[in-house]
Amino acid sequence: MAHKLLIVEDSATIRSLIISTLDAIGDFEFSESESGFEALKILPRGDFDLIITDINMPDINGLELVSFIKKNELYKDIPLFIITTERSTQDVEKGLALGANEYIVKPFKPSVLQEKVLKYLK
Amino acid sequence: MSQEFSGQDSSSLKDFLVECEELIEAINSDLMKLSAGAADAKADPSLLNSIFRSAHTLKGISGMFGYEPMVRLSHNLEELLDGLRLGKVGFSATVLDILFEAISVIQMLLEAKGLGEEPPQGLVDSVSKQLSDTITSNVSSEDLSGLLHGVDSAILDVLTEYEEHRLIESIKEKLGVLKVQASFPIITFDQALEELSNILKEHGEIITTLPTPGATPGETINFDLIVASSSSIETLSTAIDNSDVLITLVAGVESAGQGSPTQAAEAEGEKTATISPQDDGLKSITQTVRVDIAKLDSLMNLVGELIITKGSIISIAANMKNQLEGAKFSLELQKPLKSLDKRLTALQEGLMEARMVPLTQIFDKLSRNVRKIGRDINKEVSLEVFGGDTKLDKLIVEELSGPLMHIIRNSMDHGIESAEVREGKGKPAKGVITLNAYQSGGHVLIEVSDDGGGINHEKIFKKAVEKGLVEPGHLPRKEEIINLMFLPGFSTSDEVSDISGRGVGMDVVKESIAAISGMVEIESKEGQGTKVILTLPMTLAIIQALIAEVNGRHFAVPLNTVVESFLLEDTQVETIETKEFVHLRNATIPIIRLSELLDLPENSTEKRDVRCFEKYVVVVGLAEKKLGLVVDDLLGQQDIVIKSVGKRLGSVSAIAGATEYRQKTILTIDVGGIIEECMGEQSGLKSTLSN
Repeated sequence: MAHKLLIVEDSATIRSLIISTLDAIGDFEFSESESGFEALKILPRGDFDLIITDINMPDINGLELVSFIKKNELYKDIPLFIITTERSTQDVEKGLALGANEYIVKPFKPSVLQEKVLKYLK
Repeated sequence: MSQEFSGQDSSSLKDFLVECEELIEAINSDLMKLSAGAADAKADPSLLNSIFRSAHTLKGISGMFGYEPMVRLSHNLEELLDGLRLGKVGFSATVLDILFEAISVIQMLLEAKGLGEEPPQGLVDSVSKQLSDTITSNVSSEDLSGLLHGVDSAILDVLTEYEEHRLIESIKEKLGVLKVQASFPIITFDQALEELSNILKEHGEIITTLPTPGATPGETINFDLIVASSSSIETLSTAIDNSDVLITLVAGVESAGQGSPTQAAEAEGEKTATISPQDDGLKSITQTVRVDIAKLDSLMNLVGELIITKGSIISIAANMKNQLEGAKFSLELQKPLKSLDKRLTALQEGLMEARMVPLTQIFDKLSRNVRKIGRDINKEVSLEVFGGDTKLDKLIVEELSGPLMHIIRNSMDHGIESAEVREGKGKPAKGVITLNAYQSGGHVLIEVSDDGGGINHEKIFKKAVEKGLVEPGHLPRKEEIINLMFLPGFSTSDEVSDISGRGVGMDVVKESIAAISGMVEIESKEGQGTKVILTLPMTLAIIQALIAEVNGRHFAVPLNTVVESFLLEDTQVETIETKEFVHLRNATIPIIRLSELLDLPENSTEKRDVRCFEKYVVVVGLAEKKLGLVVDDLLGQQDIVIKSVGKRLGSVSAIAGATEYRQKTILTIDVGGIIEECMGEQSGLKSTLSN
């Protein structure tokens, strides 16, 4: 059975890189979302195995999404990764405090993302 | 590390290039908005944040592709913007110039990447340094985080650094920071939230929107909107008009009642400062899909073929009508055919619409270049833009920026005089170039006018003589002299323009505009300025055409160029030297026999009925010029898809392309080409006549 992944990221390039990186290591079904707002709409529709979210997004930012997911009975057990850049250490700390399982720093090596994803999907 | 990504398939690289292009466009457009308000030295924070986010993404994705110069430059750009948006670096016109400069170098880097060329390292180094120098020399550090004391940590925990900064700023400005709590059904929350957000935006700035699970997580969702506003809780409650929405003060001071008149005025100011750019906020969820133009092209071709198929069915139905057996079916076919026709037209229009983009895209780019060139050549010139929302086929728009830039560059170099000369003439020191786009019939016209010195006809003629392009002698008419500027070889090496890196003349402009089926004209008044007019088709895809017959062969004449048609009687024709004219109402129109122009032998196998002796004149016109094309017969209107005809025929100026008509390939007449060719001869004729 394919693993269902939700990618919340406003850059189409990063989304497609994540997809091609993970496609190389297994069977995934990807749902893409350009904003936190859109992610809230998609969440109830899929039984996700993993969520990867960017932090810096307008309106509903990644931290708010983490907080929402981790406080929600329905989603709190879904592994959740945050993606940031090296500049946003403060945001990473907040994200982990809110319950994010892993963080990935852009630009990332494909192997780093692959290893972390495999760790949670075993 | 990231090298592992550079070997990615070409589609990732394409994604990368497309997204970079979009980001650069977005930054440019935001910078233009910033520069419009640059005078008051207080930059709109949400605009700065928007530019920051674009630069941030640029850096992120160029990092993933290991494109080092772009990473370095966008990193420094991001740092500066971060400082600006967080209020750590002061904003000024100089800072704005550096931002413009940086984005133009990033654009060059992107172009180099797309072409597989070496990036301009030297430029990257110097601009990167400028960016970082700006940061260190403008720091205005002030730690205000103490102002957050007392704000609920559940809110602070989810704020990004920028949002935290906006919260501090709002408290500093003595605004009330309110928490607006609402609960919505999970299925319809988007609409309800958007409505609520829109109301709140009218009263202040939404700092963030925090979603929390509802009482029954599968059915409801709660939102805490943190809003900085000068309106009182009561005012907001009345505006929202929903007793389920709870508003509380979380920080700052609540404004009392309706607020004093000054407060109201301030609130108004705040409104205009923050609402407009924030409008894009929730819009990001609109469901936009990016489609490769090639895909639209192939869909368009399919529609074109469907239209041709429809044409065949119609002609079969028409044939059946004349047969005893078929007449009934033919009648029955009418209704479904009509509905097919209607839907095909709708489909075609929908696809056409999808290809249309507003001209703002390139106009913004041009404004930026004008700033830059003005600085380089030390002339103060402002670009005024009208009709930026005029839409054209994406393919046409893409081909326009080069020619337009060249025309503008010409105006700046040769048209607009230096400040001293202008003042001497009683003109304002600052030159003005106006870009005006508008739709006229089936065409879009773009006029580039300057208020410079106009074209000196004698000088142009002299130069053309020097170049050996014309024989010395008497001075020809003004229009003919202007046409000399379009001759290849007229432009000189001292006009090398840095737009394309090589010398381009008006001949190249004319050629590139002709390639998209357009036309260039120049009008000039000495001392007052020059106007260059581009007449462009709205789309290159499907057009309506009049099908005409010449010696048994069929040709398509684009309907948007057809003014009228009439039956030609020999008595109407007047011959002057070898040229023929007809009188039409009060005008004399030159006529061209297509059979002669295209050198078509008479088809002897064609059954000669009386009709062969009748001829028709199709009056075609582009801009102000009119010409009659003489044909044997008119077969009606038809939607056609123009296809390229390859190089061999491409050089024949009378042919624009090929299309399909009744399962046969027929040629499309290039009206612009014929008019230009014939009018050139005509004016030559007139001038010999007048001598």
